[in-house]
Order: sequence, then C-alpha cells, then structure tokens
Amino acid sequence: MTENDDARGTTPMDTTHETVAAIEEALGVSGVSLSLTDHGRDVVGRLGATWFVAAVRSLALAHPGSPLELVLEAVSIEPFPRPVPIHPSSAGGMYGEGRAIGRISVPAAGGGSAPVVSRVLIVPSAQMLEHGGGFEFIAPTSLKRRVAGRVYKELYRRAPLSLDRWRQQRNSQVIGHRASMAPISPALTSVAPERHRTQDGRPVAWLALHWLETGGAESWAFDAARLAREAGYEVVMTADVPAPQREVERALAVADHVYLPANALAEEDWGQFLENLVVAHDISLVHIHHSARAYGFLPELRHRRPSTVVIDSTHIVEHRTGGFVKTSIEYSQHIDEHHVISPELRDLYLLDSHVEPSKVRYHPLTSPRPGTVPTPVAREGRALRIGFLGRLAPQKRPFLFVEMARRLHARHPDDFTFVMQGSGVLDELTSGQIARAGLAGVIERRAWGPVDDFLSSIDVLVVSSDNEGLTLTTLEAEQFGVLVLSADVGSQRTVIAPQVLVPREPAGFLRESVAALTHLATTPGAFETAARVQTELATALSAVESAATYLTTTLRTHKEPS
Amino acid sequence: MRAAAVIVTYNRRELLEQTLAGIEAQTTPPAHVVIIDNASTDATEEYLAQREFAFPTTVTRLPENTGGAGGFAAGTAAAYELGLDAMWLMDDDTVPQPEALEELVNGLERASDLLGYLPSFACSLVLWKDGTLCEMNTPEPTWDFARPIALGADFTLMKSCSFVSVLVTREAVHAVGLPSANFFIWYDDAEYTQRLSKYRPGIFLPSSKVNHLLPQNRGVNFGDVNDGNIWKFEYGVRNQIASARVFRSPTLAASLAENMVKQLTHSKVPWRLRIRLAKAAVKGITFRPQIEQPKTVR
Repeated sequence: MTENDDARGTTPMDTTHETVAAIEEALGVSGVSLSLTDHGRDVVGRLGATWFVAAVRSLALAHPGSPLELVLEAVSIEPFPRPVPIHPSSAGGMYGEGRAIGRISVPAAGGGSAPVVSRVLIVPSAQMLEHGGGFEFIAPTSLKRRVAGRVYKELYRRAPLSLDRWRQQRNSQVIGHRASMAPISPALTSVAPERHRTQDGRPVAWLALHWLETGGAESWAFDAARLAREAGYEVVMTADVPAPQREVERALAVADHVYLPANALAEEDWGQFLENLVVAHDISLVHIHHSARAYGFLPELRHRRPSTVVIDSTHIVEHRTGGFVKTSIEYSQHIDEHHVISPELRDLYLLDSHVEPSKVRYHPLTSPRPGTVPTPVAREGRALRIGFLGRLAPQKRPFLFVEMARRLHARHPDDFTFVMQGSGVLDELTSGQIARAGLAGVIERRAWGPVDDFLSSIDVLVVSSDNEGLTLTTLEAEQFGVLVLSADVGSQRTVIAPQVLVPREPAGFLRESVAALTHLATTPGAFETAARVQTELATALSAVESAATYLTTTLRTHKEPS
Repeated sequence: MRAAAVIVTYNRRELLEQTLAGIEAQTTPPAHVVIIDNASTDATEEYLAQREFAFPTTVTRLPENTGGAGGFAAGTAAAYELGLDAMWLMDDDTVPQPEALEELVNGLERASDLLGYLPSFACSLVLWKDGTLCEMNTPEPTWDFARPIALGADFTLMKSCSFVSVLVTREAVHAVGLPSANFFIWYDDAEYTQRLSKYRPGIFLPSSKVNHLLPQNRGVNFGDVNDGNIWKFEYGVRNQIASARVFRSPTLAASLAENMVKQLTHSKVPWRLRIRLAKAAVKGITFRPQIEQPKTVR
C-alpha cells in the first residue's frame, strides 16, 4: 500500500499536452481540445493522462461516432455524485462556483455524424488528492439528508461510542436478510449463433470492479487480473462507482484496457456502454468483483452471449442489506462459479441460500505458496506494542482503537505502546479524538507505508471493524508472525485465537479487548498460549486451496482453444 | 459426506473403550472423532490423554458435568466448527457394529436422491447386549413414515430418536441450531430430533446397527421411580413439558400425563416422589430451552 503519488516529474503544461495526445491516440482521433483552470491543471497533473483516457474512452465506447463534450467538475467530498448530461454553453456558473475546472472536446472517430454527447466528468479536487478531502456519512442529496448528515457527524465527533452502540444494536436486529437471500433471477434458456472469436485468438476477460480504490476486494481483483494475464487472457477492467479512482495506475499495470465509466457516464449511457464493451472486446469470461452494473447486465449477457463464462468473488455480508453477497445470490442462475473467500460465506451460499453446491468455491486469500506459519513471539521485558492498520473509515471504527488505547494507557502506562498506520475519510475526526483523549504523545500516527515495516514494529494487531470477511490484513499479520486480536465479525474466528476474539458491540469490545491485552502483557505464558492457538488456526486455513491457485486452474480450464 | 463421530462420556471408562473400538472398526471411518469428557472423576481423563487414536481426534474436557445435553451441545458445536458435513452422535455406552456409519451415510445419500431433499438425520437400529431390541431407544415415526417404502426404499421417515447413533447433517444443524444444553439430561435427544424433523424429517435405517450396553433392557417407566433416580425423571418431565410449550404441542404434554397416570397407578412410588414429579412438570411451563446457533470456523 502506498500513498497517492503525485510526484510525476512533469510540469502541468506537459501533462496537458500529454493528456490530449493520449486521448487522441487511444480513440484514434485528432483535434482533441482541452482547456483547464489553474485548479484543473493541478488536477490533471496529479491524476495523469491515463486517468482521463480511461474516463473519456468509456463515453466514446458508449457513443461510437459521436463527438464528445465534457465539463470537468471537481469534487472534494465523498461519496461522489453521479455524472449527468449538461450543455457546456450553460455551465458558466459552475466555473464561478469553483466546481467546473476544465473542458474537453473530442471529435467523432472516423468522422461520424452521430449527435453530440455532452456530459459532466467527475474528477477529484486537488485538495482531495492532497489531503483526502471531506466525507459525508449521509449523502446530502436533500435538505433533510443534509441536516441528518450534520447531526450524525456531530454525534460521531462527540459521542462515537453511544452512536456505535445504537448502530450495532440496529445491525443485530436485522437478522432476516440471510433467509431472504435466494436465487430469484430465473435462468434463461437461449438459442444463439455459435460465436467465433475474430481477434488474434487471445481470450478476453472482463474484470468488473466497484471502484479503483484501496481495499481488500480491489486488491484481490488486481491479483485476479494479473493471474488472468498470466493465463493468457487479454484483460479489460471497469469501475462502477464515481470516486477519485486513485488506483488507475495499479490497474493499468495488470490490465490491457481500463475504463472509468463511473466518472463519465450518465445513467442513460450505461446500457449501451455494457453492450458495446462485450462486443468491442469479444469478452469470453467475466469476473465480477463487487460490481452492481455487471450483475444487472447478466440476463442480457446470457441472451446475447450465452456461452460467456461468469465468475464472481464475494467477501463480506453487509449487516442490514446483505450487500453484494445478496446480489450475487439473486443472480446466481446466471453465474457459473461463485468464489467466496471465507467459510462463513460458503455456508451462507450453501446452507442459507441453497445455491447449487457445484458452483460454490471456498478459497481464502491466503498465499498460493504457503510456508510454515510462524508463531508470534512477544519481546521480553518491554511494553507490548499494539497496532492498528487500515483505512480510517467508519467500518474500521478507529475511535474504538483510540478509546481502547486510552483505557489501557490509563491503567498500565508502562505496559503498552500504540501505533496507528493508515489514512482515510475519518483522518480529521480521529486526530481530534486522539487530542481530546490526551494521547497525542502516546499513539504514534503513521501515513501509509510498507506493511512489513509496520508489522515488524508491533506485537499485536487489533482489528476493531464492525464488519469484515476474512481480512487480508489479518492473514498478512499472521503470516508475518504478529498476534491478532479481533472483533468477532465475519469469518475472523477462523483465524483468531478464542482468547483474543472479542464481541462486536462496542462496550463488550472495549471491556474484553482491554482485559485480553492486559492478560497478554502481564501474565507469563499468556501471549505464548494465544500465539500457539493462532498458529494452529492459521495452519489449518493454509491447508485450504488458495484463491490464486483456484483461479489459475479455473482460468486455464475455461480458456478457449486458440 | 465427511462425518465426525461425537461421543459424550462421563465416568464410564471401560464402556468408552468399547465405544472407541467400535468406531475404529468401522468400514467407513469417520473423518474426525470428537470426545466430550463431562468432567469425569474416574480415570477417563488419563485414559484419553494416553490413548493413541486411529483417526484425527479432538478431546475436550468440560470444567463441570453439563449432563448429556450439555455434552452433546458442545460436541455438535465442535464438529460443526471443524467443517464436517454430518455429526454422528452417541453415548459412551454405545458400540456401533462395523457397517453402522457406512449404512447411515449411504442411506442419507439414497434418501436424498429418492426424496429430493437431504433428511435432517439418520438413526440406527439400537440393540441391547443380547441382540434384542433396546427398549429405551425406539425411534418415533412420522405420520407418513411409510412413504419411502412405497417408493421402494429400505428406510422409513422418523420424527424423533435418541442420541444413540444418530447422524445429523450440517445443513440441519445450521437450520435449527445446536441441542439445548440446559436440558442437562433426558428428553434432550427427543426435543432436538423433533426440532430437526420440523425442518426436514429424519430416516430410520435398520441396516445400521449398534448395541447399547445398558445394565437392564428396560424403557423409561414412571413406575420405576425411586429416591436414587427421581432426579433424572424430574429433568425428563420438566424437559418434555417445556418442549410441548415450545413446539405448541398439547399432545406431547398429554402423552406425558397419560404415561405418568398409567404407570404410577397401582405402582409403589411414594406420594412425596409423585409430588416432586408434579412440581417438575410445573417448572417446565416456564423453563426456556437454550438454543445456540453453531458457528462456522472452517
């Protein structure tokens, strides 16, 4: 994991020309125009030409033969709005408001005479790229929601524990969604002409992602793209949801074609985009990584190209809605293989939703070449080093870590040290909480950096999330020889020793995590016992075939003869 | 189907040896053996610590005696957490004949093909030491028990059975939860298998045979109540009344009352013990069986 890199070694004007040239080359046109405000030049300089190519080519694919007119709108607050149609001639006011930061005009490829398509292109502001921007707990789409969002944020600032107690109670009350997950989208029996690949014989895999941001699901998607390439596939990658899309470069390193329709397409463009995508690239395999658009497209895909192989990977069950797992199960009859990363999900698919057993594949995101799992060893005669690693996002509940650190430090100031590595939308709120708790000199804060460096500087990793699947961070920590204490969420109990597995609800989490860590720090042999149990669990997990090994085999199996 | 044998033991080391020997002689061996030692005070702990097992085995010693109910709840949970497809439950005085598990596993698979669903459990024919029917462990059929027979099957549908060789599927445990640990003893098996059969009926496979090494071949009879065994009868009465309430089944309570009246009339059971039984029945009206959900670990 690395911090967003903005040092590209080029001047803004170089990048502007480079962006024009890159768009022209990618779309096979000449005469692209690009106008930018100072802010716009800054943003283009930070994002780079490839980001804009990925966005503009999405709209071009949805509207082949149409000239494209784009107004660049800078956004500083997540979640991002969706792009909308706009006539550039009436967008003057947006410049005054600081929202519009530039214009792009793209002539029609091949001199087409189709109507002009004008859209807002959503881009992150320079402030967001530099400092992370703001965050709204509730998208301010109406006055009521704006007020609710402000109240929620104030509660989060002043009384995060009380707010979380209410949230977790609410999450626990909704228990019916598991039973309601069922394959409801009926299978289609299709008669379609046999398809012959017309390109160079390399099969094409489409990896459909939620967005191109840091996260466990995205990390696996990038690995899956690399494996597909290694298996001989040409890789196409798309993103569903408007966002800064900070991982475009990482995507381009593993995919042949990257599209950012999320930031350029209005709702009415999506159907044509998806249809043209599978035809233009002659897609033969789809691997869905939390993409609602791809799931919704599956019945149409089954009609047009029934022999396309469809695989999806799911990671986490959202407490109240079921999230992508529910969508995956609903569309199950259009999907050939469900890859799930935890035994909890396997049981949900098989035992709750009664998905056809032959389709369900449980393969954790463990190393494909597992070695011996090291047993954590605490350093004798010094304070126990406790760490938090991850995005500072609501799901990760950084305030719980801070409160736990406050309680431990108050009772045993010499027995513990604390370090938090990561950044995110709750950066500012977390800093405020640390300051109010008087822990500014107690909790060491670190920005993103090499995970191994972080893990080598702690004895115990604390996972305070209110929901997870089987976290990659936990697996990495255990493989590194770090003991992990976790909230009992998702499938964490698969790899967490029972003595350091604590309740999800905040009061229980704090009570039991403080007690468990105190026990580890002060009772001879306690750390070693927990470490031994963790090693047994991690070793048992490593006996299950890894996701990478499974996918490599599956990709080869489905690869059509060239 | 990967099955775990689950044995609950308490102070019956010699009998446990025979049970384990019977398991190790199976033609279809279990993938795992889970032994719950209910805080035995004889030499069971030492015996289990030094014994070499033919299969992967997990021995869990509970800190206190939780009764058969607590032991089977713990054992079923442990087998579920190991990721096994089915749990073969038995007491420590059960000796399975060599084909017992093979017949249960094959029978479930045959039933799944024939009926279109996987039954929630499969139970064995329980014989006494001498090969005659064991009076205490006769399973209770469903109203349509003969339906598979009409389809040419060699098994019948069951509503309940005892924890003396019953193979429970993971799917069914996931659906209805674990056995009720706080029943402590008696009627825990009847309640659990009835709960399972409300999800899907079980099946009885006479081709799977086990021997139950009871000292006497005699079923539960209220006419046998005395000062030494009244505590078991009290649990049984309380648990059956509680089950009748939970299942909303007045007939369960009525059949208990009928049995008690029939068996106590003209018996020599003193009135003070009869009153204790009545008090246990009253307790059952408010007693809440504890039902825990199993947790997926592997």
